[in-house]
Amino acid sequence: MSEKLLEAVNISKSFFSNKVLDDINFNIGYGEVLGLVGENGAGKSTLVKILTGVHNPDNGYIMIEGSKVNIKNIGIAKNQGINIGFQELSLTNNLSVAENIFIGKIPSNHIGFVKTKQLYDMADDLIKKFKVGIQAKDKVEKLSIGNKQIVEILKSISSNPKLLILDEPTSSLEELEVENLFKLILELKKNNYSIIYISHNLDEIFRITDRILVLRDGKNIGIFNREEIDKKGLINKIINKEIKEFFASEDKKAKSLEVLLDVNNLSDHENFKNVSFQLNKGEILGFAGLVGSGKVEVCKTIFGLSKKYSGDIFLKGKKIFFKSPVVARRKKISFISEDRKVSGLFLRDSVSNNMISEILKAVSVANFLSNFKVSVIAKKFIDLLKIKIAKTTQNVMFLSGGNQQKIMVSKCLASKPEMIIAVDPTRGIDIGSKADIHEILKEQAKKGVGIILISSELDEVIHMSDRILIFVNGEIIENINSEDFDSQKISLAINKGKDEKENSK
Amino acid sequence: MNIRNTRHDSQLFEKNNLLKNRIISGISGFNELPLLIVNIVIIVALIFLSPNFLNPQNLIAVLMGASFDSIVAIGMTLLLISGGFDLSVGSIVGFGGVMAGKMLVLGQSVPVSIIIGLLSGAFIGFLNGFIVTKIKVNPLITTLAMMQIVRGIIYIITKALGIPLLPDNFSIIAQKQFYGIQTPVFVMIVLVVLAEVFYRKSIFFKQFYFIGGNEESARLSGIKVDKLKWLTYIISGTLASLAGILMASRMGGAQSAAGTGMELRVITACVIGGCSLSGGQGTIFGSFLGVLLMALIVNAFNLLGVSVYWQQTATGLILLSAVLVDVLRRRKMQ
Ligand SMILES: Nc1ncnc2c1ncn2[C@@H]1O[C@H](COP(=O)(O)OP(=O)(O)OP(=O)(O)O)[C@@H](O)[C@H]1O
Ligand SMILES: [Mg+2]
Repeated sequence: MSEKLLEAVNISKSFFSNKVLDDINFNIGYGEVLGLVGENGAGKSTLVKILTGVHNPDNGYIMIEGSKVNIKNIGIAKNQGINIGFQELSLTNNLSVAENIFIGKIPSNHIGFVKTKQLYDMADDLIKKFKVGIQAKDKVEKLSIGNKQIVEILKSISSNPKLLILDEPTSSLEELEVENLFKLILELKKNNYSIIYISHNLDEIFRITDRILVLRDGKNIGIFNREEIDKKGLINKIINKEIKEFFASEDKKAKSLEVLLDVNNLSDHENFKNVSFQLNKGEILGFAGLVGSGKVEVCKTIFGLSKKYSGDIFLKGKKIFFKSPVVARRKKISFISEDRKVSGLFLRDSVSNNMISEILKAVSVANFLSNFKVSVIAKKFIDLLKIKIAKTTQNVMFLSGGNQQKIMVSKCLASKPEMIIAVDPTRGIDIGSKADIHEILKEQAKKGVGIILISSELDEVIHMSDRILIFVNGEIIENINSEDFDSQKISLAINKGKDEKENSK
Repeated sequence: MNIRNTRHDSQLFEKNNLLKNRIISGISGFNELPLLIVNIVIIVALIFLSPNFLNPQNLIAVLMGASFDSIVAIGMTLLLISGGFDLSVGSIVGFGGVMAGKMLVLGQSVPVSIIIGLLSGAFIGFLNGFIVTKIKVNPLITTLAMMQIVRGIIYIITKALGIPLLPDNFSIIAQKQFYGIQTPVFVMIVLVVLAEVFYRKSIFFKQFYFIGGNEESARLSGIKVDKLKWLTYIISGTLASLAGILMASRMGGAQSAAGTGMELRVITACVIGGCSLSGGQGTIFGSFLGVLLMALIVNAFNLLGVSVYWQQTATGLILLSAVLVDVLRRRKMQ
């Protein structure tokens, strides 16, 4: 038996004339966690898609346990024990955890009835083995995104793969959920599973991986043992130039005290109640709280996505009923939604069409689209956000995840908003561009735009915000000014509601 | 001086580049080319296979057949682009003709009768749109039911006899010829050209592509999704009744079975022409070529003496293969 589980040899791949992977060699051992890092569009997802048979390489081959394997399609990859935990969850919401894990191979007796006890026992075994805190009988729809992710991974594990691939599994997870995921990964490692772990969060990479493979423009820049490189060194490998210190604090400017948005006693009688706050012009207001704390729902209500609310919303002193996004857009509020695929982009449309979808009037002459104006806008944002595309008529569907996210941000900025509601604006975006987007949002604030910011990374909220509101169980329990930011205290406050709930059980 | 020159050069260069890009993207974006070629191939084949094909009478008949379908296809294309669907257009064709005819018989003037015919088509579309966007019933079910209801009403109004023998001053409208070509063909040309230009470039119609591409994203972009979707049904209904009125005028009478089966033929034509059943895609030019293809195929069957039953089977087969191509095209993209 070979000592390496998998070896990739001279892998190259082009889409049309665009060379995405250029002569990649690497291997992965048993029980090893291999980190895969690189800028948006570097080729990470494409590389793992080749391992899972989604794409076929133009050149090169793959060895599994010492023998050459032609992974022509997803079925062959599965048979060879390569499994990918999909970013888009593939769970069935109204079934139980156990049914989801074993879907397609549910134990049954000879007349086809489900052996319920055996099913739940099998699920319990897995749950115990990997020490995850969920119940086999729970309905999946009741789980948090983090726990759904864990069920998704157990589902992949249930077919006993040798190699598990996780492509940005934490991009939508809260800190606590990330911890749970990491525990699961460590358990998997102990059980000799091999894992490829893709992430833009280098702290995660350093915590969880053994070796780190760096891709840049489709080339293998090197594979490093975790001990032999530090964060700064790794960043240099990834982007090949010095960049500004991340999350460097800067002197806060004097704020204007002109109130932009004034929310009074807002309730939707379901997710949140008695929410009151003000957002000033030029202020970045962070909303912190767990999933289900009501922070996102408040934003959606302000944007007109939930008609049934009580309480008053004033914009620049005028009371407005936000009955639909049409009203919000007319009032120059822009929304960067948390899920770019479901509610953000037009995947089958071109890059430029996506960018102009909110500003049709501004790129037209006498109500007809002006190719020239469209191309000016497209060029502007492609340069500003360093979006990596072949041409502006390219379908957004074929862009890398991070570049899709950048299109979402462009779309928002292009509309010249006076207020921005940003939910995870940097989800899936590489470290270099993340700093750029932070810079851009701050510039917007300097120009007087009011920003509400939500992020699954608490650090991002703390770094960006002038003030943070803490949401617990649908209510604002604290209002903290930037002088008093303390990530531990905030983190404690956020989790307060949860602890109380658990104690009262 | 020097600086100025270089700037001028670079501007010129950019302009040239832009022009080049536009031409390249114009050609590569010309998805209708294969369909155009198929049409031409069939025409050439028919010229060889049937001596009657080039007969002016025959060519005019083909164009006439295509004209009614094209007018309906303009509405259907918009529906498909925005992710909708309308099976009731065939019945509305009959309804528009019958309503206009009824008014004429009741002694109304020609313009008033035509307007009432158009309004009744718009009204059916209004109902379709209301049920789909407000009550949120699936468009397939809604318009399937509407197709039955409207056809039933036609039979009730006309006691299943239609309205034969309409006054001459109405019939003359569609029977009048310029250079041997009748009015409906001109109406078709004008509407198709207008729709092509507007669908492709106007920002108002661009919104329908966004709605069909991703309704949720469109809503968040501040597009009035429900109102616009509702409007597509009204437009489709109005155009269908226009086709029906022209048809009645052409025939000199409104038949109660007019437009039967048209919905499937038109949907097939649109899908062949590049409309996707999952929305977000389609052009008028493509749909028009699809209509023309269907008309040529029907004509080929007639000229070659293939039975009517085969024609129906063929239409079904073509629809199925067009949908198949659509599905495969999308699967390949993923
Ligand atoms: N199916 C496809 N057709 C055409 N181009 C593609 C396709 N899939 C990926 N690409 C291109 O390949 C390049 C690499 O994409 P990939 O998704 O591998 O990047 P990535 O490293 O995963 O980036 P991210 O961090 O943003 O997820 C991108 O420029 C992308 O546009
Ligand atoms: Mg990726």
